[in-house]
Amino acid sequence: MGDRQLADYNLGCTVRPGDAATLALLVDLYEERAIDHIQFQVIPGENLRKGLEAVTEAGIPAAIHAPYHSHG
Amino acid sequence: MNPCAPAAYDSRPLPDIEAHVEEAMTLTFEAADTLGAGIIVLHAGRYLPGEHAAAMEEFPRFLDRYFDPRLTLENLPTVYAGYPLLGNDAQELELLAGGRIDQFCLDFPHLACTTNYRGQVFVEELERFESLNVTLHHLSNIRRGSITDEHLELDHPDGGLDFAAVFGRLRQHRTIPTTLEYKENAREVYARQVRVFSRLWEEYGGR
Repeated sequence: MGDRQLADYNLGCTVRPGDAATLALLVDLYEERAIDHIQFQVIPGENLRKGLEAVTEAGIPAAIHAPYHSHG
Repeated sequence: MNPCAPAAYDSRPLPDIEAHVEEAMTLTFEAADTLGAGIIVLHAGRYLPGEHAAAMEEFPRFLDRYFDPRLTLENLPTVYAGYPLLGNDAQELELLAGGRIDQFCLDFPHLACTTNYRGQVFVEELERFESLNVTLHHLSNIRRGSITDEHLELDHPDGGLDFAAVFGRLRQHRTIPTTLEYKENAREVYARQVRVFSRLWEEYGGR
């Protein structure tokens, strides 16, 4: 995946607030050019602001997913 | 939060529900502003059986309060866990958008669940999304013939998503971002699924 030379596709993965392990992996994948973006899932709660800060620091282009009906 | 039927499946008083929706949307817009995101994926939500028409009438009221040009309306499966969901196909998404929302998210497994439920042809319903301004794809897998969205891995042995059709569309629209969606054990799953996607891209949609 790391030797992808051209932007054949624009691939991303979803990360939830507070999932630092997944975000760390996605940062590595982005640096390898294996992915091009992330989708940040908004889930109201105590992890949200810290999670948003972490995603901001990562500097990866992002889409946002609004809370689901299962998020209250 | 549940835009098309805020009080359905919710025992809280309506003012509490409305306050929660207000907070949820404020946080959502704040996140989009902070990250510079041009896409905010939105589900129309779930409604009570028999109240489809009421849900179609309620969703525009949500947009009256919370419309933003970044809102991107996603298709949902017809049913999940026994309750009906709104916005199942391209035509219904267009109706819900009401000329206001002009960005759409095409979730391939959601569409496959819908066509399996309705006995429709997946490829035909997929083709109808050509009439919408799709700005994001969502991808995971479903069991063969299933009506239930399970976010299965792309190479799941029981997977039944029509990859020829899916990757054919991805090839035609290769600049539209495709987001993999997994919820459990995400780190381990993504590490492998990104490679699986690359392999499938070459197999079905590569140059």
